[in-house]
Amino acid sequence: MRPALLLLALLAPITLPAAELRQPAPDVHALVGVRIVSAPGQVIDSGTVVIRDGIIEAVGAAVSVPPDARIHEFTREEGQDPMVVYPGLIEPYLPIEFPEPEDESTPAGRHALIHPDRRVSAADWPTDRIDELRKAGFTTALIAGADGLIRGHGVIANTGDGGLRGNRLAGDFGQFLSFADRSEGRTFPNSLMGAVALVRQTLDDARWQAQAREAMQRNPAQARPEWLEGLDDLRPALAGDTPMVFESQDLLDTLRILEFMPRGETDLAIVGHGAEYQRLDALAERPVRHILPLDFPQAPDVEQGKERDVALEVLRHWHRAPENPARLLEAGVPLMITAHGLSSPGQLYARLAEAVERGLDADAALAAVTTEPARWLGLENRAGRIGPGMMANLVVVEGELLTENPAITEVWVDGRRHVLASLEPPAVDPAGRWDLVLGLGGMGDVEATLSLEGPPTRMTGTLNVMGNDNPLNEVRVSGERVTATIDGGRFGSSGTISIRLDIDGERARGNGSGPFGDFSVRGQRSARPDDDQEAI
Amino acid sequence: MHRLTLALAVTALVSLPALADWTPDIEAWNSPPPPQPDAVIVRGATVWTATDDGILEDVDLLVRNGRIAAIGESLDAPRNAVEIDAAGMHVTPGIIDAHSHAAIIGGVNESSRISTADVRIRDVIDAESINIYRQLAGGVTAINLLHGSANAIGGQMAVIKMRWGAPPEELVFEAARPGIKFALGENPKQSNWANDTPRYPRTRQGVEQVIREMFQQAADYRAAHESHPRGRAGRDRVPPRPDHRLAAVAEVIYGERDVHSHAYRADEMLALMRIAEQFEFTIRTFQHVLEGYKIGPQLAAHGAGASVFIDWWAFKQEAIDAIGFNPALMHEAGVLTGLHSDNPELARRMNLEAAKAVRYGDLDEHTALQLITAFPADQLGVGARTGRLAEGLDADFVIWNGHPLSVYSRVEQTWVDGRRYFDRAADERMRQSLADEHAQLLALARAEEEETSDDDESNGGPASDAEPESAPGQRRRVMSFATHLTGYRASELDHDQYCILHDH
Repeated sequence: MRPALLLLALLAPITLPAAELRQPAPDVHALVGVRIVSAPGQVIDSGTVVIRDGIIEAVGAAVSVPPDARIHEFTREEGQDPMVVYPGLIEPYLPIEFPEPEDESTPAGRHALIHPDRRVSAADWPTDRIDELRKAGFTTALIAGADGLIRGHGVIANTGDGGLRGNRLAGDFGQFLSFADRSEGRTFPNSLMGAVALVRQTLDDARWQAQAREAMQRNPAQARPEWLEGLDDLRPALAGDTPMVFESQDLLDTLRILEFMPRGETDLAIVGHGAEYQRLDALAERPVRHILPLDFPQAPDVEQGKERDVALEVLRHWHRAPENPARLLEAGVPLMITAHGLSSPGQLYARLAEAVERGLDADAALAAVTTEPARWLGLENRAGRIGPGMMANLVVVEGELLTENPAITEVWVDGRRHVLASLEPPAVDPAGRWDLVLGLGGMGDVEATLSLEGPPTRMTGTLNVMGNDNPLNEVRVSGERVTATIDGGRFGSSGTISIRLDIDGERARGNGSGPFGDFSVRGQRSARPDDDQEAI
Repeated sequence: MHRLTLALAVTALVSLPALADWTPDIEAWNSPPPPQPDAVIVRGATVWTATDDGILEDVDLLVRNGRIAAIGESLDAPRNAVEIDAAGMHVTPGIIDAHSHAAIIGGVNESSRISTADVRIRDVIDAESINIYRQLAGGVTAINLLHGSANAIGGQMAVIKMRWGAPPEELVFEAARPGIKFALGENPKQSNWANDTPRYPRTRQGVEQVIREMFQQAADYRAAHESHPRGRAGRDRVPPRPDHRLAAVAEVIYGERDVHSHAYRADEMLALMRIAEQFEFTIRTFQHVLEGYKIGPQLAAHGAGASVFIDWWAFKQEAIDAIGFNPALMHEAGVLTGLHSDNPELARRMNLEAAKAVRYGDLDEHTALQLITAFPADQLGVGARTGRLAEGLDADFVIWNGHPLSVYSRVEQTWVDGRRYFDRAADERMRQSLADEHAQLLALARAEEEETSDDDESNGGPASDAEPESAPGQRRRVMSFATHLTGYRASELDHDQYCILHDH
């Protein structure tokens, strides 16, 4: 069975009933007694958010709850962090790959790397990545193609259920470009300079086509110029009516892009690379809007005796990368932040927290994922803040959002509530070592050892699979349930692997899900923390 | 070819574990440009002017604001001048390498089409290439970055000054004439390539025909653009479509862009000169020119220069007639002759290439030095700015601890635009500060590692081996065919790979 089919088979029984359990209309909700961060730097200590039909109706400390509203209260015990409502995050760059065309041949007059007329269609909707984004608190995203040199238009959509049909806010936003792609073999272009030349020629062809069309309209009595398919789609970006979004590969590429797109002509935005700090002068001189990834390098392996193997260049970048966002902002470069480049969007928070620790203003950090992209996308009156008339896109979190591991419990998209975790006080103490069997369906069983330590409210741990220790991203004990997540990057895939276990004394049973599908989990505790100490 | 590929693949497997991630400790982005003193005086040196003045003993060289102000005995210098005691030392003009691929990123060849006149090296100058610094240490102050020789009409070249630390656009030597690479012989006809995707042409006469055809197309193209009415009348007429490939070739036949053509054999050089004369322009230089000595008078009559290897011969069929006496013979025939490196390692020792021209052909030492300074500068159209030591020229010079053509001599300082970009003593001092920086950062990394292992490992813990690939700059793995070279980005070695696979 092909993996995709297997995945479908696994998912089918889970998704079908869910679709029938939609909430009834009208949808009126009131989140009461919550702390509200309505925009970066604007906080209401205790207030109410009223949502009607997907739109925020009222926000404030003294807002009365409408009689038809469903009331959402969050009981807090002494010493617990308050529940805080933030505006939903906006992902300014979600590149997706399109399926390979069945027919590999390129039509006459077209180049396989040039598709300015490409649009994200409903069939391209990246359901899994949208779900991941939503779980990480993103409620809106700009989705665009990731293939080729000129990649087409972006579409702005919310991250709710219902695909592009249910979530599309605006189409034809921006024109996406990059110098990174190459043709295969002996086809032009097979070098970087060839890629630049092809993009240059294409943009000039598009300018020519516009000129030629106009001349033809004024004076139809002349030889008709050839029509270059697809290039009319470059006109809005060339005229500066919509952004020209260039994905940069590295610092030299950024300088190349700045040189390539002269000042003034277009509304340029650059998807950055993380080493902008290296030549801030050039960027400060011409502050082009940046969409910045936070894929900071991991600490180099500095094992004793191997010091010289760690290049100074690697150490330098490792040390300075986390201060890159702060430095760029100081230089006067308008900044948005993307989760693109991270193995899962949830990792953004740890990186943001690190960037804040290294000098990034916390409000600016929040703005870079809310109000800044909202303004860029033309959504400043609809998204990025919590206010009357805005889309009801919210993140509900226990405590602060911009911490290493925020406890996001709910994400609201268009007034629809998506519950991530219902938090109850821990009713069990699962500390110790658990011998588990992961049932991967047709792929057989895999043995794993889960080690948990610390008090139930603040646990850490590792999952050992096939001899490899994988640190857990997050462990949460709620009632009798333990939820643990692992970065999928450790298994060579993007996304997050999560495991849910219901604890019954020394036995555990539950399930898990990951990029490769769902699985069952069962097992028992083989050691408690005290036993371990005795063993040592 | 297939056997070679297989051999390379096997080498790769064998040598991969041995490849360290070692890269140079210095990076261009954090190497601020050295200051430009108002005045510099170099005292008591033996100055090789590369002009008619020849070699002057025990003279002073005065630099003001980046230009050479005077050369002479016991010069007066301003009070604030940087004073360099060069007694016993030799000063020469900075070396000009008229054929280099040393600082190009993302491929040296756009090897797809027979004409790639639309690609520009200027788009892909690698300001981070360690070659720039290393070649400064060999006395090189300007290089001509050329496209490779895979196409009859290759890409547009870029002449840069070795301003280590500057971003790419600031490296560009604006005074240089625009130029373009052409290529004749085995490479454009793909003699040494796999035959899986043959490309027209496959013969020397085919290459000639393609070039002639491109010239005619370009002439037509230019004529169409020039005949398009201007102003209001032009608005109502459909303009001819722009074509950057033809536009660049048109610049060639209108004398606005110089041809620097890769060529080995005499017959094909004569053929290209005939086409050029038909289109009424001059081939600026031939590159490599291994059989140039056979047609010295013809080259001189046409006005073509020659940029050559001194002793690379017999490495492929069309190189079989090469001789070491080639540069001397061409120089004596009145050809503007220079020596080039075509190789980032050789470029650090160009003075020894010049020395070989004394050995082969008995050129006098001063003329031999001109082969790597004044003459290549003239070939690139920058002879009025650099390549010689004379009043008013850019202060691009080298201080040697001995005779510059001696194998025992080394570069003490290299100055570009009156800025000291290389200083042997400063380089030695820098090594200590780099070692300190390395130690400090290692200590930080260790501290962090301990913290994460004590605390929790929610951030992923210490590096897995997969991550470094995504580091910016991508200066990671050295390609298998070039394991003897360290500190290069993979893309910098594209040219070497090309050379190995296609015998230059």
